[in-house]
Amino acid sequence: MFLLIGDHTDPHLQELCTEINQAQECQILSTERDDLLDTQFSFFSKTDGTYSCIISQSEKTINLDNIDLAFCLSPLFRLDGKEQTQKARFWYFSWKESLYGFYALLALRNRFINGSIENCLRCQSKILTFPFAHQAGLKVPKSLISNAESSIKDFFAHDSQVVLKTLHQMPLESEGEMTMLLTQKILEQDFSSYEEQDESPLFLQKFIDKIYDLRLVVIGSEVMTCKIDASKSLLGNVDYRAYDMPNTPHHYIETPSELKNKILSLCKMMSLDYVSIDLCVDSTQEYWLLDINPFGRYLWLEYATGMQITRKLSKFIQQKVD
Amino acid sequence: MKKSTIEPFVRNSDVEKTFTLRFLKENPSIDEKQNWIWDPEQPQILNIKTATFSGKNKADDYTNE
Repeated sequence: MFLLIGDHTDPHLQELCTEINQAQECQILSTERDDLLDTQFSFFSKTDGTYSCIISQSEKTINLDNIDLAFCLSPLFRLDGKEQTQKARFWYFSWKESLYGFYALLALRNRFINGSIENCLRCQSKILTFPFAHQAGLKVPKSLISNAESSIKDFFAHDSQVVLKTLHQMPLESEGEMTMLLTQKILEQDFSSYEEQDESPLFLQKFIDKIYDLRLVVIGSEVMTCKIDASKSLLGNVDYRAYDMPNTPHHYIETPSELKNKILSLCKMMSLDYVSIDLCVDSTQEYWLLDINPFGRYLWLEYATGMQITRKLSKFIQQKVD
Repeated sequence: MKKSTIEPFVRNSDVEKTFTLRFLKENPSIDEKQNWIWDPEQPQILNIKTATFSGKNKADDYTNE
């Protein structure tokens, strides 16, 4: 049995589950709050060292011993500001320990795509990106992660064209509406009132005058590439995640072989079977690595370009067991 | 009265500073009815929900704790 882990309303998991179910049994373990409220988890360990782990959720039973392979897009729902009571936080972290233990058992049995949750979390670290990318021969724009005023000033002294990025994407609110922090150009003057005391580290990167972006989806040894050209979008030309879709053409392109080799080398070093990777391309055709996400989404690429990502992922998951 | 030595889970404090959030903006408003300069393969793309559209991120990246 194949297990997909995440929000059961996530269309990625739904479409993937439908695709796999045409050939083999596949189930979704929902890690959303409301679904966990109606979930029974039982890990039982005997003194002889044997153990069992069974999860019941919405009339389905998931037995650890029956899982051939698990694929995760969301290990647990986000703890947001509404869950800050002691009771709610205790509930959340009890579930986190239980589920992460379950995932660790799957990893122990070599039943987890990308090795383990810990590996996925490690690989989405912005800081870890740099040494691995360098080893794989991929360029990453000059970057600074710091809260030290002198370091920030020094960064601007060497590069006047700078973007501000976020280290950690999370749900944010602006004017009472949900939003996200998009990458944006920033000037040294914007830091005139900056004081390092009590500040958290922030993420600055040299601005790359890109001509387009590339979103790569890596599945095993396959690298599928979508060219995303937001150059004509006034809203998305710095960060295409403004999703000005009418003005942002998406096209499937063949992955250049040299780039493909470097990406596969990177994935091998990071022990990743599935990952989405963002790059941009400048006017000299130089590739710049921007982000690595082992939980990356892809469905909008499929709708935009007809890329058969769900089908390929489904086949990969099934073949990995065979 | 006995004084509690238990550290509260969350201290409501304004001490922490996040300079980055000074640059947080509202979602860009996208007119979905405007002319598209390209043709997507499948019409479902019109219904896709992304982080910037809905806050409930389904279509694109979602990093986890």
